[in-house]
Amino acid sequence: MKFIEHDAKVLMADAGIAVPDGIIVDRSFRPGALSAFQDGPVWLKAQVLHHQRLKRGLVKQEEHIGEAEQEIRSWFKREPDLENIRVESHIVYDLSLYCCLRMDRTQKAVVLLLASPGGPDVELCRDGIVRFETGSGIGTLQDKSAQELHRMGIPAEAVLSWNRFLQSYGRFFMQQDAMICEINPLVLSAGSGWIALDAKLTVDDAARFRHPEWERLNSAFMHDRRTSGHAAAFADVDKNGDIACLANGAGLGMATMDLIHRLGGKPACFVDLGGLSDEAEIEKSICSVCSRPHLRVLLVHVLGGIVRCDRVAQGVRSALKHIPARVTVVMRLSGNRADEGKRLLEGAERRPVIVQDFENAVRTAVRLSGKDTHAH
Amino acid sequence: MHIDRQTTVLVQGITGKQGRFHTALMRACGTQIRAGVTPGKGGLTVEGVPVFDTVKEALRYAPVHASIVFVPGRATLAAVTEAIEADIGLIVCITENVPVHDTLRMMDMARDRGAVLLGPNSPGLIRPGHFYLGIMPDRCFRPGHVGIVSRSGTLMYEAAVQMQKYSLGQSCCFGLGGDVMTGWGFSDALSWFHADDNTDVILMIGEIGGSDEEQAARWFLEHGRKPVAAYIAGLTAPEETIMGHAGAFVSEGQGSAASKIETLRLAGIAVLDLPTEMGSGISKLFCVPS
Repeated sequence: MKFIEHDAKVLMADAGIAVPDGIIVDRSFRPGALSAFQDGPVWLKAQVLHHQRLKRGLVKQEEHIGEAEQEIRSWFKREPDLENIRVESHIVYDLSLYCCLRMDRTQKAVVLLLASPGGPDVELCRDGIVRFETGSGIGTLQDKSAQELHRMGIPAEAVLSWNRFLQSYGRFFMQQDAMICEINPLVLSAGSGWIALDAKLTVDDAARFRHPEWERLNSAFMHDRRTSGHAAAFADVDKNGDIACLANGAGLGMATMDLIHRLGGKPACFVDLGGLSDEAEIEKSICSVCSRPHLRVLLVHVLGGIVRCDRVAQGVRSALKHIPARVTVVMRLSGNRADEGKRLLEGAERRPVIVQDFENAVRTAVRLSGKDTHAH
Repeated sequence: MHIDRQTTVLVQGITGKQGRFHTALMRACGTQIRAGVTPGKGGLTVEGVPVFDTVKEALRYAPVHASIVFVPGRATLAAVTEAIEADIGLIVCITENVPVHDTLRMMDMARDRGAVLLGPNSPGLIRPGHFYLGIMPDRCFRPGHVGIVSRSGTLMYEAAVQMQKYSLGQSCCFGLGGDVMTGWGFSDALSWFHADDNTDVILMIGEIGGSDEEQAARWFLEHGRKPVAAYIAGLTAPEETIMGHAGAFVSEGQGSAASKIETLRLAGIAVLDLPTEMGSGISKLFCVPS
């Protein structure tokens, strides 16, 4: 789950990481809401998840509050999907860093990436980034990173406050079950220590059970809205694709999409049934996938181990009533109770095309998707 | 790690729906399940197996070599910690949706104590005719001399089914699990297969995401002696889309199928183009003098 900047900063401030003073405004914004900032200057920052805010003009400094209010109104008019804008005070600083803690799959550890100076161009010069592996704790990090800051020319007194910052930052990363916590830029301001001017936070969905504080944030609400209607294991491959695949297992699903592509078909999406064998859930997944306008073929690919093929067949049979006539269902059922499953479908009004092996199942699906396209 | 008919097993989370169901299936395959653990359910019996509150109590009743974990994600770290601290040498973690920070702690602990951790999100392992610890359909597998190591469970069954056509069976099959991070990786399995006299050729089934396949390629360049074939799933997966497995996604250009295939080929591993070539591809390797 990705957090919008404002939510990340609220959590960071709670954890003792300094951030600029700021408020969030939405479309119900009224003149006077910015009175806390006296007369500026202030920063306006659109609270969206994509990373092109600067290029799209959605991060901007305004010298006076009056102008800021006007700009906020114009952003909301111009960007119909924009929900929130963070308004924050301007910080004068001496130096900046790129700073990022992330869960690194290759190192199998938390790593710290540092670069000097920070700013929007830092990702263009990956060579300047210094990495540290930390094991699963961050204890070993302090000395090594302090040395590196010294090498980058950061003054000694700043390194002292760095240790304090790093302690809060590391603790925050662990406590929040973070996958990525990127601060760019992290700036050093005279008398105030290190301040996070921006924040990108991605957390581990699997840890949601132990973070009730996330549920109060708009980010969680936005995340749920984005993913609603899809099973957790739904993956979109191509909006214009015409063959959808329902498979029991992510690997089998991916391999099926690959073979569709290799044989000249256009894969659209796949649903991983996993160990699911609830007929109603299967029916629901099928109906949701088949409502895609370009879809021509639904390929159900089940290697029944723990999953019972007859249960899947029952789910398909119930769904057939709701599947649009343009969609042909092709099935490969193999393994646990496959024969029972096939028998169940023989009695169905619309009989799916049943195929024995992997390759023929995909060949049939590709052929049927092509035939339909020519007919239109 | 030595596994055979005499390997004894503990089931953690034995009283849950999954734990109960698979305990029955494993026992039917001859797995020697000696005890089960569910905190608060000590004193019960499940499928003829006595249940204890803690791993310690269970081990006082019957020492075991291996543990299989079915407890929910929120309790997995505690369960695996208990097993590692009790010096159980092989832990298979079936649970899906374990927080990554917890997995990292489990991996560090397992490494420090010299325990083998398969998973999380692993389908288990099977040594056909000898030992079965997991949730895969055992009847897909036959005793033989092919070692299979796979991140995906279903593709492992598919590979074994394809091999039947060529009268090929398996020495041992390891399901690594589909998570972002897992205990055992491909190179651990490759190394195990190289030490196993019963394994002649090896099939690796990888997928997009991470760099475990690349690490295995490096291991193979340095230590590989037995023929290895590989199939990598996810060539058509778009970037930043999670493909069913929590760990199956390409990010910032890293972990794509194309780059994995290239690295494996350069290391001298026979990469199979299609998922339908896993049986025929392996049968060809038997003709190659090693």
